[in-house]
Amino acid sequence: MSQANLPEQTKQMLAAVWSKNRGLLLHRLDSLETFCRALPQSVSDTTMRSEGAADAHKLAGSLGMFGLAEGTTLARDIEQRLNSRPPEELLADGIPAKVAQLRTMIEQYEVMTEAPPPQRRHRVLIIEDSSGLAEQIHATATKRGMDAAVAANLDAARGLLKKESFDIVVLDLGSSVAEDEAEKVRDLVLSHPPMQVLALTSVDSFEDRVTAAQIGAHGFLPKTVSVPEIVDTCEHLLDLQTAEFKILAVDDDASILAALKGLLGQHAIRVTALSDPRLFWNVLQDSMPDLVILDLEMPNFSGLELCRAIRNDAQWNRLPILFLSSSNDPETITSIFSAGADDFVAKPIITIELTTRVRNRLERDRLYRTLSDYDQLTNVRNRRSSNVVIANYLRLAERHGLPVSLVIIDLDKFKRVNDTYGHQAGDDVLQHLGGLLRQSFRSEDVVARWGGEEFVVGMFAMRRADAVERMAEVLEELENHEFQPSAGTRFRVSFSAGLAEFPVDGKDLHTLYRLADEALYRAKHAGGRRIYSTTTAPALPAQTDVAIVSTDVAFSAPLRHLLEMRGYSVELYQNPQTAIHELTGESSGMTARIVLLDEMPGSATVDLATRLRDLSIEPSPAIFVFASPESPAEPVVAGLEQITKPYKTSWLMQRLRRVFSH
Amino acid sequence: MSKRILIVDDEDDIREVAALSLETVAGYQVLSARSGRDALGIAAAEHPDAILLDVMMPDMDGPTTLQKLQAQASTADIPVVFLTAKVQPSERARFASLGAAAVLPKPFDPLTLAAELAAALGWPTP
Repeated sequence: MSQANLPEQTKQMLAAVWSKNRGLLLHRLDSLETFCRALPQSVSDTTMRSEGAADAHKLAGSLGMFGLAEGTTLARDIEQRLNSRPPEELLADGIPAKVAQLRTMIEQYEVMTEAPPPQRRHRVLIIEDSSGLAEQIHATATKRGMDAAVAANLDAARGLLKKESFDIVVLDLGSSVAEDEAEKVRDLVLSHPPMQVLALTSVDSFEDRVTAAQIGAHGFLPKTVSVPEIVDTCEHLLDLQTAEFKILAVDDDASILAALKGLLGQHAIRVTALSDPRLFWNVLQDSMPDLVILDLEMPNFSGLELCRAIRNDAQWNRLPILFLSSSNDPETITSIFSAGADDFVAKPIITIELTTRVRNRLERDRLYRTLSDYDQLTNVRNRRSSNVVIANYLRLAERHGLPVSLVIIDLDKFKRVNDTYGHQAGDDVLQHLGGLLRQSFRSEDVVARWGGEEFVVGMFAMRRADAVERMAEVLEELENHEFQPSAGTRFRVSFSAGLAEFPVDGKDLHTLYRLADEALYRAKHAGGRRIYSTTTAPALPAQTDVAIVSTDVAFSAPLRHLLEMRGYSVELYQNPQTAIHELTGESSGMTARIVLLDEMPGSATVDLATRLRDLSIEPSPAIFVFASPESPAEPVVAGLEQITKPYKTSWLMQRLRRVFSH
Repeated sequence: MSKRILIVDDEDDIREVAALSLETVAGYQVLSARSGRDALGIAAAEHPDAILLDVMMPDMDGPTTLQKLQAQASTADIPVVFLTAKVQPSERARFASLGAAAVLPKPFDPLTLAAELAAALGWPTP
């Protein structure tokens, strides 16, 4: 881990601790809220005052630690007043407003982690004299988010390279490079590092491979392969170039470990150093390295024993292993390789030899793994590899007491897309969703395609409610995208999703998957376009989570969808008269946990709100009144919460979640 | 051998953040206890290099825990640093007279906690 990344990494872990403990902190507001509810008598109640002060004290001690310094100041202020103000003065101190402010602060706060730097678009230079092929590669590369330029021959390429830099060159050996030009190309490439080179040939001949090697190409493809395959290979080469690798080094000699850290750190390789081989398995699971370096001779366990153990383990047996040893007699070397090692470096370490061997091994291994771990079409993990990663996350989460949310996503009516617009359109949809999921989730989350139109996301340290919210944001974004098939009219798609949370719903992947799948089934059954969790209650005939009363369909329809998408059952009333009849129990009797009242003509809003507020049914519904920004500041109906239009989705959802969590 | 710190606090979030901060920022090894009573046992068994002790805890508060640590031969020599949300000068003097090595304020900044602890104990900057 480089020193520069340290604070950022700590912050990310802090963010995980925050999201895990937010509930606990909110819970500490309970005694303060009890105090507020019992006003004005509570100002003279010493027990209530001291309990509130104790909780405020704890909040003051915690919030600043997460970066919420204003929370600490506010909590301290409340604590001091509860501890020392005479009752009549405390009454005028506005404690309820301060407590409410504190609650909002905690609910809305997120530990700020630096947004990852915006990804620079990769630049590709296509050197190809056939304008048809050049055009196709150009178009596909642009579609995949690269900036592409075309040169018809070497001279043109040289001209372009003088003016701007490129990350990768696609070079047609057959047509653009004359036989004696290999040297020139090599010089050109070498004078513009770091640039990857992918060579294309018309025939897959050995001579061409030699030429490709001569010019220093990193990859080689016959022109007979499809254009998307050419661009895929470019992406792989670029990934390798920018990849950061992780290594676990085990040696009882601390000076060797320090040397390895220093040496490999310069080559963008992060080294986890371990001096006690007894801790090997724990550290292996935690650090998830791409390669292991083992010392041959160590106390307790020898490198050979660790090596055999790795080779016998179902999860880790493919891990590249490199040995360090001070003896290099044939017997030692044979024993190292027969234990299953991939490579061997003799001590004392020669810098260039070690870094080259490690780097080569890592790049080759990453290439194979990318090919076998990732879904070719969508570039997210495949089922097998995601299973391994998720299972590992569950173990980590168990050890650190963190939750994991597992979501299964299934595109709605996908068969119809294929049937109506053709399979190319279907593939476009899958690729688009894959890309959207990759962008929407953090690197510690797992995104995978499990087959057909089914995707899976595993969110580390993420609770159910937050996970549903994040999936809802992805769904909104997907629904807003218009696909343009090559034939036919534009179309849009949606998905349904089912969610289960570790460890409350289940402790193994199989159980979680089964429960998430059941939730998915229910989401589909309810009409699709929504995310159901294992706890989403089935809709009951005379009960609804949310009732919307609005005469304006342009307002109520999207709101209804936003709510249903998040698993709430919704009843929509376009006629206030019907709403009065049903919600107040005059006829049929529909009960709602929440009633959202839109501004309506005449006195309808006030009438309905007053009737609902004064209802004697238990539990009485929580009522929110929407108001346009022009309406007067004082509430339309006294004692009811007012929401100004246009409302912010995330904010509204937070208010609603609060009602349901009580 | 990296330093080993025992953190004692009844609040889960504070223990977690302190551990996270001391482990990732300074590479210290962290042991944790959720009460003064637990701390006495762990300190005796593990003999950490320092103890970071919350002042306000139910049952056995920080000062009482410190006195018991001092009374136990196996733990008497371990430096104890108080963590408190009240850092008035009078409090500071009271803790010093009890034999605390230092007093650190709550809330602490997770990025600097390790450095403050090291400075308070005269250890090299992590």
